[in-house]
Amino acid sequence: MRKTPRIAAALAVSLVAALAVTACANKRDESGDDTKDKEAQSKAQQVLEDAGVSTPVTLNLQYNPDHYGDISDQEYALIKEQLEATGLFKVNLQSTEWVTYNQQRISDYPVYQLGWYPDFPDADNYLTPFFDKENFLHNGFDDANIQGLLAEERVELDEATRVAQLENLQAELAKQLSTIPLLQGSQVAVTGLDMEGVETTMDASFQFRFATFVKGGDPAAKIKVGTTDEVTGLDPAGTYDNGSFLVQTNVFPMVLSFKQGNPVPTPDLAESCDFSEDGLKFICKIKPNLKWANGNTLDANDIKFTYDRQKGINDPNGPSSLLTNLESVTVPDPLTVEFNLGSPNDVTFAQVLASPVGPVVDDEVFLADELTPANVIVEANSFAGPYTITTFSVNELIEYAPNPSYDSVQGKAANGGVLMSYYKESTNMRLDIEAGEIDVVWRTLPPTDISQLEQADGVKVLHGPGGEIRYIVWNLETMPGDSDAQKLAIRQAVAYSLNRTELADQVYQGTYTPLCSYVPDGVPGATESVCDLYGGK
Amino acid sequence: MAKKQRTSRVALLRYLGLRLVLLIPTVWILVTVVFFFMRVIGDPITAAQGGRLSPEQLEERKEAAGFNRPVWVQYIEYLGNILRGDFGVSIKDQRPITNVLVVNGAATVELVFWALLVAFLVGIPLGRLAARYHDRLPDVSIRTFAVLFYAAPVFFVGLLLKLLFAAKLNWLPSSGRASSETEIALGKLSHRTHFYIVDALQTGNSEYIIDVLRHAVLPAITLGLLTAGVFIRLIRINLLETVRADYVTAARARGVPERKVVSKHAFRNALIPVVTVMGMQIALMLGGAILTETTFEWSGIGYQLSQYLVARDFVAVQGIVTAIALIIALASFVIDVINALVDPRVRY
Amino acid sequence: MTETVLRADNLTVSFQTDGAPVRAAKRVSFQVARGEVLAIVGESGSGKTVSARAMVSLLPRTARVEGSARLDATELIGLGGEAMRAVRGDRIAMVFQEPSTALDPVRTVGWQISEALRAHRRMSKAEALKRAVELMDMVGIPDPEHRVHSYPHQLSGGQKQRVMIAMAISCDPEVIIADEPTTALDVTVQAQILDLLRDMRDKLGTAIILITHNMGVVADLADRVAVMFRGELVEQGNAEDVFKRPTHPYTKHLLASVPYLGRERPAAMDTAAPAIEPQPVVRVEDLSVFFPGRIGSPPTHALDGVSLELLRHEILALVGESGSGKTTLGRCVVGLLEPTDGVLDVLGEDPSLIAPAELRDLRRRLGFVFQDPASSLNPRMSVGACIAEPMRVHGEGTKASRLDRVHELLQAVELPPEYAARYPHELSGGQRQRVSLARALVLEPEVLVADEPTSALDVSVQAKVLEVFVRLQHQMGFSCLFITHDLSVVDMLADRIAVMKSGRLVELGTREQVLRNPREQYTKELLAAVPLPDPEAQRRRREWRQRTILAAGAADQSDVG
Repeated sequence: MRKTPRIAAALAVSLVAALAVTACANKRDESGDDTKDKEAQSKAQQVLEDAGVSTPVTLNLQYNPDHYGDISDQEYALIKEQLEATGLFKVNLQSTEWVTYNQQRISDYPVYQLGWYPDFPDADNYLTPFFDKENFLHNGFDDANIQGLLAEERVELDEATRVAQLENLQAELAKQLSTIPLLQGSQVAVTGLDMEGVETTMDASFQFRFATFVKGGDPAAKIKVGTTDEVTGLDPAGTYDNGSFLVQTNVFPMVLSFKQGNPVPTPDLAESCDFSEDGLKFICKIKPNLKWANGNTLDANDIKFTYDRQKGINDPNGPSSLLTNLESVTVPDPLTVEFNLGSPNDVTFAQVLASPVGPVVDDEVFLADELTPANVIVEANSFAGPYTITTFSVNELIEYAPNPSYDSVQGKAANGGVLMSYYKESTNMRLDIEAGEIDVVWRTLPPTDISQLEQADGVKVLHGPGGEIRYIVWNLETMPGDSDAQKLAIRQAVAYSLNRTELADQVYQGTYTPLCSYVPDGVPGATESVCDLYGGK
Repeated sequence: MAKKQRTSRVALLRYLGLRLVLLIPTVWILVTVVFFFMRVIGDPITAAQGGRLSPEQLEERKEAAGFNRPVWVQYIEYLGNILRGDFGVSIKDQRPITNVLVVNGAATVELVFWALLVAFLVGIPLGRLAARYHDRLPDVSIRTFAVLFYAAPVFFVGLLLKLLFAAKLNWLPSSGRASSETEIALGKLSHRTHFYIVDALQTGNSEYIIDVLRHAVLPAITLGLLTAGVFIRLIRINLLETVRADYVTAARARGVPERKVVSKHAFRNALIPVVTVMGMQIALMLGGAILTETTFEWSGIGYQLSQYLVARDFVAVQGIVTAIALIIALASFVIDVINALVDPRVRY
Repeated sequence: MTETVLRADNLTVSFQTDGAPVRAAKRVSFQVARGEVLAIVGESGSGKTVSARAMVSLLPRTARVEGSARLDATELIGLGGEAMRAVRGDRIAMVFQEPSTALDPVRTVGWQISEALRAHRRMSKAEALKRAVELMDMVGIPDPEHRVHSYPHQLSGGQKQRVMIAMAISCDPEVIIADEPTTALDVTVQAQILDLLRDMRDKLGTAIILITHNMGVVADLADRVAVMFRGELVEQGNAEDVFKRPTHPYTKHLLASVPYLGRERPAAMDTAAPAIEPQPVVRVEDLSVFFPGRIGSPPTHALDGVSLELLRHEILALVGESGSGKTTLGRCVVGLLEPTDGVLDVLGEDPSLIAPAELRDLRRRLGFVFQDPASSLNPRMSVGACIAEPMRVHGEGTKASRLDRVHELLQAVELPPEYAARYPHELSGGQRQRVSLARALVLEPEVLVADEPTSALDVSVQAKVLEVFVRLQHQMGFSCLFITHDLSVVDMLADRIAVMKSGRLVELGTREQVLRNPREQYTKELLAAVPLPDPEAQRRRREWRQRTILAAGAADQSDVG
């Protein structure tokens, strides 16, 4: 998720955003929301008074436009304004380069901006990494009650029970507020008016699959897709980024995958999957007579090869860390694969198999203990997804052709193939989609471009739930406050003072929506626990 | 008569040989400076991956890449590699830099070629016109345009041209070196040069050729106008100087028609300083090319360089900067050659 | 008198400036006949070049020409465009002062001669080139088949001027306007070019308008003389008459100012000279200076084993043509250039070996006057500040005492004391050179090095400066190394003369001995080449030169680059 410097666009963005901020400052004075604001303000004041915190509280708030986009400047300027408007806070905004930021945030920053894009669209992926004992935030949050609740939800096989557990868990988290959820990125696609079938793929699995796309009702028409993402490689063992995964989901099969419109893992190569009695094995039956596009046999051995290889190569840029709970893979027969797990009944394991670590690769083409270059894969035609790649020109152009032998969850390709063009500048991509040079753009247009395209003739702007979230992290040790009670009071006072709608509308112009709890909208288990307690939607 | 011509050719060859020999220390100094500058920042692995990898992993990778050896050992190895034409492999995307140079370098060279063409086509006639109407309306307006040309930021001009010709009028494509179909067709060539126009000519398909040309128009104008501005002023000022020269008066005094006086005497002499400045201009153009490439999705070497810089991939940066230094050194050699051909005095 | 080809009547040229129009030539009338040489003589700014160029419309756009100039039946004034083009080169050709700038450096000389031919004659390139070879042969360029492919920079100055003449005669014009055709050339080459012009006139019967400031050249070549002064033609007549019986006061003054090789010094210079002491203040022994050539070519020997001494109170003239090394030697003496080899002893020190502080002390005792006063005086300093600068640099005197000294020196160089407050650009060339001299003498140096101090000046001005110079030397008694190419000047002031050629010392002796009784062939050639400002004397001298020197067959050597 790197941001490329966009000089021209950035200029325009900052201008527009600066205007927007000024405009919204005026608007707030006029609007009738005063009473609501006053109410929140008095609550915030009350909670600080009760804890004996002297005001104004000085917050050294760190954020990172380098990594989260220049528009963060406007976002945090507005947050500062919101907090200081209560008279309870004095906010010092600070920002630095991403590499330094990412190193120093743990030890040095009392309160700071972070973002998250899930490894897989399961509620647990929005909870365990942040709130378990060994979380990646290292912010001193260590709550036995929460840890117990997390351990329960991770092994609850019953869907309804698990949702209840998740809601309870999030209600507890909202009381603690070790992080404050802020915004949820919405999934935006822009298409030509003659495009159909794009909405279908915009579900909470956050995967972009071409198979349903149709242009002008013509099943033979080729679709042109534009993106500013980069492909870092074709080999799933060496990549863990959106740009590469987008390609892989369209050309590689998975044991379990998502059917368009349904963010729940569904058998793909598998016919069915189940936990063993003791919950320590996840056993999948594989469909018979499967072939790779080049004619090689596709069976359980390829699957074992794939995950052994992922764990063996353990590439620092790869997703093998997702396989922590997988101890080994056994193949009792070519149509059965057994995943031996470390902890039993891991409900997220099915999600893992459908995640970036999931794509299954050809054991006759891929190298067992090192990364396989893209040209080798393309030349060997080692694909078994809905498409094969016929031209691969790194970060310039990829040509996909429908794979006639594919017939699984994503469905047979409804189009004549896809041409994917890589752009460095989103402005160029915007011009091309407006001019009809390309048919579809997914996800990578900045807010200003999207709001311009909303007005433009000849294109449709489609919205769906997005997996990306933005939140504020508190370091419970270094944050202001003399006692735990005071610290909690300060966090709560901040939560009372925030107005997410304003952030989403004024700064992000609808490309982000307010995030009212820990699990975002669209993912099973989502609630609004934080907004329920503190308002501020 | 033959003897005289031969001696003058020998002198020319000797001069060029000498320039070529002088190229070696120049290049060596450039290459060394680049190496040590890049090392001042630290080792490339830490630069690229620091903060993403654990200290142990960093050490492991540094060891594997040989960055923990003494600097002079690395330096000798680096020189050896360059001599063998090996500029290393980028950390960010594992591309051999030679591949970057061949593929993206070709794009930049092609862009600079088109831009120079525009610069000459615009700069020379306008420069001559301005000199001819010295201090009168055409001169004043051309000079104003020249200042605008090189004072306007490249990305701004690029954006304007795109908005006008691509977005508003829809006459020309707004970005890229070719449309996807052409890219695919060119990708299938067995002897691909990565110079798109050459590749398109190889296919012999006029559709591809036109497509490639259409894509080149806006970037070439954007970068070309920048240089044209410089050329206009140079040609103008030098022409004004040479038309005052004694030999121009002398040519007039022997009854040479005015048109020929300008074209055969004044103009050629006015070109000499232009050619000299051109070498420097090409170096500057590489700078302008980075912005033009970014604005127009022209995947040239300048753009790659900025990408690697953002990614702190100093192996790639070092390789590309070295290569650019080599290209500039070579370009200045070519300029010397042209200079020697235009100005006979240089040869001695 | 034979038929008149070109006749100018009441020619007036004015230039538009920001202020009132400046009249550069006022009602000038003259005519020239076939086979006749008319010399238009005058000092810089007298309007001689402007009048000649006006006839072929080669003046800047700001010039306005009135009056009439008829070439046979053709009225030239007001003739424009194609009609004028047809006249230029074909009927009136020109030879310019500086052959190295009048030839296009990027075209071969053959190409340029062909161009002149093809501008007026229908012929193929090959024919034109063939004719160019013939023309080059005719003007005496050796090996014309090869030289035709040479670029100008490959030829010597004399050869380049021969090429210009070849071009001028290429279309067999009725009139050749030669504008200072020998001023940029060395004296031996000048003699040859003058011979060539005379030869062409005799062979082709062309009328020649010779524009020059050099009375020697006039005496050598002209049939008739027109003298111009401040835009007006003040005297015109037969050459011998004008020289023998000048009528206009300006002409008289001009002729009196011209240094005349072999004549007595002007009375003004006859003050008592200090006695020369036999003790050397400057001594060089086997002095050599090599300039490294461009890589791959051998070094240039600017000085090659020169030995000589400058005695106390003596004026030693260093004489030679361009490239003889005379300036190099002067620069070594004042420490501006480091010798490659040999002994250098200036007032007991070697400026190239001593420490900077000692060099400063030594420089205090040395003075230096440059050729071009315009560039050696700082334009942003007043004359007084310029003169006082060496004192200030060496920390001498108070502000008041320095001012006194400035006034004293201004008086010595015969300038009014008010000039201390003026700026160099407000002064004339001769006045500026006198300021330079004052500056060089402000610290009362023991040794003065003067490098062509009068070459850039008009003759009448030159005479004044030389006069001042000699008087000051007599008063102050400094020893002087006087560098010049002009033997006539040398005759006026030198005690001893050193003749140099190609970095070597050719001959060294007293003035009398070197000028009246030269031992070396080269010195003889040099002396013979100096034209005398007297048509009769010069004719005799020319004939003698042709009989004796050229018969020896060596003279042409100096002209073969």
